[in-house]
Amino acid sequence: MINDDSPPRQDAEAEEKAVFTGEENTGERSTSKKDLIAAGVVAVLSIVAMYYAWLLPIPTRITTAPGMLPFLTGLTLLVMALGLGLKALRKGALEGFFEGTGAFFGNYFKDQENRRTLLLMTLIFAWVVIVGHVSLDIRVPTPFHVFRFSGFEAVSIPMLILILRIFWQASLARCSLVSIIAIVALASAFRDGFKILLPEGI
Amino acid sequence: MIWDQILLALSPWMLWMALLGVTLGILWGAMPGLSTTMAMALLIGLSAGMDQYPALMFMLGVYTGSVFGGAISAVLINIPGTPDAVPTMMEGHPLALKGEGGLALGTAIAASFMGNWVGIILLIAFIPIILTLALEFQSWEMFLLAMWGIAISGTMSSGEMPLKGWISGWIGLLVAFVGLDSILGVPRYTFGYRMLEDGISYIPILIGLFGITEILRVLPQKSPTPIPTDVGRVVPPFSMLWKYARTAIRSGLIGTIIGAIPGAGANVASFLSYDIGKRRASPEERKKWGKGSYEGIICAEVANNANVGGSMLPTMALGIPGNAPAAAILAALELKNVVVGPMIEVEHPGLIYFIYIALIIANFFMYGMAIALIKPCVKLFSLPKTVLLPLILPICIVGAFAVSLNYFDVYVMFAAGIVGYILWSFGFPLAPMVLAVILGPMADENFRRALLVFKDETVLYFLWDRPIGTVLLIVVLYTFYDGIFKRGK
Repeated sequence: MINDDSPPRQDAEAEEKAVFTGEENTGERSTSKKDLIAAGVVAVLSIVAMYYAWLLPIPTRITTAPGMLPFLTGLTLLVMALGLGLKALRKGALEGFFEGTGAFFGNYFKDQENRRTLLLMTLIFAWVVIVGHVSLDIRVPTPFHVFRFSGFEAVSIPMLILILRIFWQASLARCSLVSIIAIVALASAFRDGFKILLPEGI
Repeated sequence: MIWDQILLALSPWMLWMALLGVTLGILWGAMPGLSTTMAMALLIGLSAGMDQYPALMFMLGVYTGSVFGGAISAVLINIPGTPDAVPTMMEGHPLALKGEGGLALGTAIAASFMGNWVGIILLIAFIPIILTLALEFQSWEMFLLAMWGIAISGTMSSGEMPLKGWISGWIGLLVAFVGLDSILGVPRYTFGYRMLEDGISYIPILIGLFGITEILRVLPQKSPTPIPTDVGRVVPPFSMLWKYARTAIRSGLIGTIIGAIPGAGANVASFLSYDIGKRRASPEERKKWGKGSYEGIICAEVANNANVGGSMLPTMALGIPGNAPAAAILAALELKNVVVGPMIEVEHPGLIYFIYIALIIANFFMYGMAIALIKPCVKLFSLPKTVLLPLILPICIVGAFAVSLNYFDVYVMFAAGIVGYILWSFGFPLAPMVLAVILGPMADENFRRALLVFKDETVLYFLWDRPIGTVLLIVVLYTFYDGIFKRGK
């Protein structure tokens, strides 16, 4: 997300030294500037966690207080954040840090992939919020089965069509067909097969 | 009595129940974010209408199937179906990208089959020994075990930067503390919101971190990595399995022992076995770890499947579930008025043999159905990611909601997805956070119980009095030492 001068760790180099690079390959996305920012955020989080743990009542002894382990967790997290920050500083994270940070937002929005990510986040958020607010229960009885159409299907079908249209970029008809089949099949499997209630507004 | 149970278990209706349970379990486990625990919890309702033995057969089938099922989506689409499939994902997906997805899955199936056998054999043969060991684990040891699990996960998932893995785990611990504390009922980090008092369930977090984050990461890419449609050979050559036989036996033992310890389940087993396997791998083999290692898959899959047999040890002998899915088995039995525990042989003669045979049958069905279901699953997951990933979104929403039929969990899932994406962008591993959210309540409760027990004792006394705890403490400290001074240099 932030461009800086520190090079990412190289897999090839790690292989030569037979160094374990980590299963989630986190080094690939690590830069010293990012680490410094992360250390700052984690340090603030740990202080907030310690503060709220400190406020908790101590009904009996300090050793068995409800805030004991959360406080210790916050404290050790703070130590870890400081460790991460120090490591980042040693790698030269401060060099051009403030100049680079200023251009961060501009660069972030210039990247098409980042814009698409934000759009997707917004769409998922809208989907989650709307499903939680729409309540609908249409029942179509037939001699064999009572077909139901709830708020979940009513919201999920158009939302899925929209996401497919943007990211799959197929025709509206294809996106609609895939959406309707997928949502109706999923809803039927969960509702009728597994007897699980589907999410919807109250 | 044994023959009666064998004949009963081999009746067509029982076999059908086992097949249905295994198939549903595999499919459920393969669905990203839908965990074994969730499958077991949700399918209890389905078993409620059955008689005692078919219900038990069905639930054990679901258990066996879903533990393996997690490997399918882990290998093919880089989203673990179940949390214990995370190590399988780390090794299996790089192989799938190289066009060896079939062999990776075939290895996972063979490893699961072997793991189940190890678990069943140890369950039958070594109940007294393992129970004695498991009984030695009290609060202090359980706390240390939980912390070890989180520390190991942090160490192994971020390689040269274990600090980042531990930070991820410690954030997970803070999330796990949200809600009423289990001993005194004091609300922690609830900020006055009553919906937070029940705590934050780990299933929405898991779905968010491994479902939503993956969608946010991959879907917006201009040219997302294609999923290979040709997975290649499925059944692994015998020579390869023979090569890793020692690894399989070691992982089976780890999985069974971890399974026998109440509270520690397939997640700890697969992560622990994976970590030990990596440390013991030859330098040549170790280079492949993280980039597609068959040995890594065997470590994880043997251990998490051996865990099934292991978890049944305390469940049957003590009435204490070895892990959450075993608790669902216990609940399913209680629905039939069957209370298991030390008196199982007196009150329900033959039931213990039926469970052994049911596990063996489920294992054979798992092997057959897993191979049969690979091609359909490959077809399903071989859809373009731009189609497949949006289709996973409604499953994530339903999955998060289904845990407790509380819509708040869907918001938690979404928040976890955003947090996961940010952490991923900054190079933090996600697996330790999930493990910490799962093990956090266990760590907290046992830590405070241990302090209650040791309240009037000196540190030296409890170090001397609890030798297993002392050994575990040394191991935990060594894990941190190793991370800081060796790997993190």
